[in-house]
Amino acid sequence: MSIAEKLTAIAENEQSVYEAGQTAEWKELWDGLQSYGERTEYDRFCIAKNFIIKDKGEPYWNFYPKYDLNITRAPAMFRAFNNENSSALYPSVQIDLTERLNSLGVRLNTSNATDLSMMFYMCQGLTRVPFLDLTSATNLNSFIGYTSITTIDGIRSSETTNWASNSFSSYCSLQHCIFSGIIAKSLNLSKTQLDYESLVSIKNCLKDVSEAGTTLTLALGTLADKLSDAEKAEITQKGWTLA
Amino acid sequence: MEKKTIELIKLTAGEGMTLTNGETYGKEIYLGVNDFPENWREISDEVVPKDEPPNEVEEA
Repeated sequence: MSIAEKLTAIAENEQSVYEAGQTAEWKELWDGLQSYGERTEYDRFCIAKNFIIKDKGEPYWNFYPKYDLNITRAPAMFRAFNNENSSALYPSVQIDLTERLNSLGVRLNTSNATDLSMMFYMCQGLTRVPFLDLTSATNLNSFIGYTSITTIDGIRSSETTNWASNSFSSYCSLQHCIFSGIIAKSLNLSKTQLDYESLVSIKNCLKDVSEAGTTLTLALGTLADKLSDAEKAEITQKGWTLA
Repeated sequence: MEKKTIELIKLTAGEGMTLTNGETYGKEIYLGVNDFPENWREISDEVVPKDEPPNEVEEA
């Protein structure tokens, strides 16, 4: 094929050539960012300058991972997903992370993750987060707070999940999250807006410490009004004080 | 048929007051079976620790 013919072919297929270039660029970028799928430590991963791209003047979140996110550490991972400054630098469109990862065929695996402190803290660019296995989590300080996230598709807790009093921190818009497993540490959910179904799932996960003679605390604040007296009694009979 | 009566002990803070055990704060407290009213005391709403917004700012 002559050069002229090649140029003609390129011109005729301008869009697909452009897209092929984009795809190649995306693969190369995420091969590097995720160490060809080997990366497990995602500390402060989403630094804004790396993930905000402008397209025709409009900023958007360029978060399209190529490989499964097999996480062992992720403190402040989504910290940069933050548009609270109303800065023109930040995208106004928020991301449904579940939908985004599903569309990419990428799984978020946190079952081996230990330090997840501030993972979704000051994260105002997301609305929904996939299921999170927190059974190995040892640091959940300020796990979520000052956020626009309304839904977590589920959280699995274990006897050793190290919940902190500020895991669900201030201005937490979380409305729906079904818990499974065991909750064996005091928990403060009073800053959330969790619905009845979520609260019942939490009640059912509370470890019974009544025989151990100890007291754990579940702080719900005004959310406790959503539970009946019988449901509150179930909580207190397990050795938990409801605040 | 088994009939069981479960006691629910509820502490309610007075107006302008909040209950605390030193770690947790609330207006209404339902005591766990191993907890006691003596573990809780009333404090003024004004001295309840306020949430401090984070001052860290991420620049794009």
